[in-house]
Formats: sequence, structure tokens, C-alpha cells
Amino acid sequence: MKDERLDALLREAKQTYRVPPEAPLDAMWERIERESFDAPRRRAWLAPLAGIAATLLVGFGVGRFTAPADGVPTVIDRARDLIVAGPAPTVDRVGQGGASKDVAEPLRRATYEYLARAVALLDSLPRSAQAIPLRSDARFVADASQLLGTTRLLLDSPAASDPRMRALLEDLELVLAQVSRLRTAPRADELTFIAEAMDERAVVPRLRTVTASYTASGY
Amino acid sequence: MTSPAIALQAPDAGPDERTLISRTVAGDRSSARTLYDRHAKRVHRLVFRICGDEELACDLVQDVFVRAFAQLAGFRGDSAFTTWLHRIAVTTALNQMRKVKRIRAHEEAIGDEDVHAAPSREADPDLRVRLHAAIDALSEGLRMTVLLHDVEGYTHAEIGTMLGVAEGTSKARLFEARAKLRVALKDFDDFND
Repeated sequence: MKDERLDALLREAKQTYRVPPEAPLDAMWERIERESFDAPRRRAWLAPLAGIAATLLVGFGVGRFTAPADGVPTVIDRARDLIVAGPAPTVDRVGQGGASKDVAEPLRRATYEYLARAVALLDSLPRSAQAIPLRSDARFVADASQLLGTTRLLLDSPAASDPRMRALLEDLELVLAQVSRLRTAPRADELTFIAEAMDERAVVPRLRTVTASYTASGY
Repeated sequence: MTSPAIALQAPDAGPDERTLISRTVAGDRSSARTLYDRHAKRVHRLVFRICGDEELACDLVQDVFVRAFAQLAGFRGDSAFTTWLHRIAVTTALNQMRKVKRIRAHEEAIGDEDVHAAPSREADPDLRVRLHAAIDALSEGLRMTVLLHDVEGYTHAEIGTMLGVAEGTSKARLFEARAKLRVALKDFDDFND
């Protein structure tokens, strides 16, 4: 097709391509006004609470994940210590796409542990139906579900104030949502789809980059 | 002699944008509503063209303005407010579209695969429909560039700001996108020539 013809078609597309219907401005405004002007106080309270909740959940989750054979969840104690350590925020000096500058220290540490756990889980994600170890299916899916819950809490916490961290958490949310829906005997295409989704967004390499930035800052 | 800026301003234009922004940041709902009224239709059109779904477009418009008002205190005027707002719109819409796309793809992958059957060329004899389908078939980066440049009329500099890419990248993408569109419509063109 000649350029002139294509140009003419594209000019016409301004009037024809996905022309929206009339926008319901007043109806849309109701929610905008409510969330922008009525909710900030509530949200301002929720943000640190979400951070604390995420810290707690990560702490318990990591503890469960790494509990020694005698059942003593040592990391829970550590997470509790981290939370008790106080609310004083510390400045992130990583500056390499790690955590937000305003994320409190306990939350940063908990976020790091969560990310490390996510790396471990996704690293062990089977890429074919034959490769999945049947005995650990339930545990694997349960861990993914627990991480999914933590991901959503972190998305509502100050940990997600960094755009890159938020993007990573959003991608993780999708992948973990897919993993947590896996059945006992997943179909090959389900596993392939998850693997492709991870590869497409380079989820694991980005996770490694962020965890490496945390490690470099002393974690 | 009237200055051009005043001459271009309609008699009932109301407060300028900078004033509206300051007032909105201070919590003035009326100013926020005025900002919304000035920009909502354009944002709605933009996100609708990205997502193609009316209900989703309305949700996106609301998300965009909630996010914009929440971040408004950080708007320093380095770019035009419209560019800043539209960047939020594009980012919000694309993120949502990626989620929707993956969820739908997953659901389709585990469902009936026959639904993937593409319509035959004979089913889309109209050139306009073919063009729209060809635009939709472009990769996200190329489609967004065509949409923003050729359909919405943004400059490459604005597109670069909105998509977070260099101006040259936007130009290269448009070149590639147009090449793909020419190929996609080649048969139709030959048929009509």
C-alpha cells in the first residue's frame, strides 16, 4: 500500500477508530470525588497499617516456610523483633530500584525476605507437567497463595511507592495468582502459560536485581 | 492591544490551570471538578481507544483522576498538565490492559481453543475494518505509537514522555508500525488498484 493511501486511512481513523460513546462524566465524578476527597484520611491511616500487616504476614510466612524440623519458627521471632524495633523510618540508600525511600526499616527487611522467598518459589516452578513433584504440589500452591496475599498487602503499603517496585509487585501478583490456581495435576499448557508470563516480563531477573540491591545494602 | 494569551481565552474560561491545581491540592473540590470537566472527555477518549471497552474505560478514567489528584502536589509543571495527566492515563490503561490480556489469555488457554480462530479476510471486506484490525494486531509498543501519533495527534516528544521512551524510539516505532500496516493491507490495496 502506498504511503499516501495509508496516510489518508490513518487520518480517517481519527474519526473512526474506537470512537467512544458519550462519557458519563457526573457518574464517574462521584467515585473520583469520594476517593480523592473523602478517603485520604482513611487511606493515610491504612498505608502504615498495611505496611505493618505486610510485615507481620511476611514474618509469619517466612517463618512457616523456613521453620526447622522441631517446629520452632525462629523467623517469626525475628520478624516480631523487627516490628518492635520501632516505627522510625530509615532512608533507603540503595538507589538501584530497590525499595522506596520512605519505607520503614522493618517493612524494608520484611519486603526483602518476601522477595527472596518469591525468588525461591518461582525458581522451583516446574515448567512442564512431567517435572512437577507430586508430593509437594499442595505445599507449592499453598506457598504461592500465601505469597499472593502478601503481595497484595505490599501493593497497598509504602513498599509499593517506588514505581519499579510497584510494577514488579503487580507482575508478581499476576504470576502468583496463576500459580495459586494450579490444580494437583496441572495441564502442560497451564504451566507453559505461567512460564511465558514470567519470561515475558522478566519477573525472576527483576526479582534478583531487587534482592541483590537489598543484599548490597546490608541485608 | 490584547495579548494573544487573553485573546485565546474564552470569556467564561474561569481560573487558569495553575490556580486550579493549587486550589485542588489545597482540597478545593470545586477546582478539582473544573479540572476534571476540562480534561475528562479527552482522557476518556484516550483510554477508550487503548482498551476498546466502555465499562473498562469509565473505570480507567476514574482511576486516572484519583491517581492524578493524589499525585497533584508533586506536579511541578515541568511538562504541560495535559501531558502529565495523559501520561498517567496511558500508564494506567496499559497496566490494566496487560492484566486483562493475561487473565483472558490464561482463561482461553485452559478453555476452548477454537475461539482463537481469526476471522477470515472475506469476513472483513471493508478497508476501514481491515485497518482497525491491523492496528489492533500490532504489538503494544507499535500500536500505542500509531494510536497516539496518527489517531490522537500527539508529537513524538509527547509520546516519548507518555511511554517513557526516547523521541527517536517513538519515530522508529511509527516507521515500523506503518510498514506493518502497509503489509497487512497490501492485498486489499492490490485488489482495489
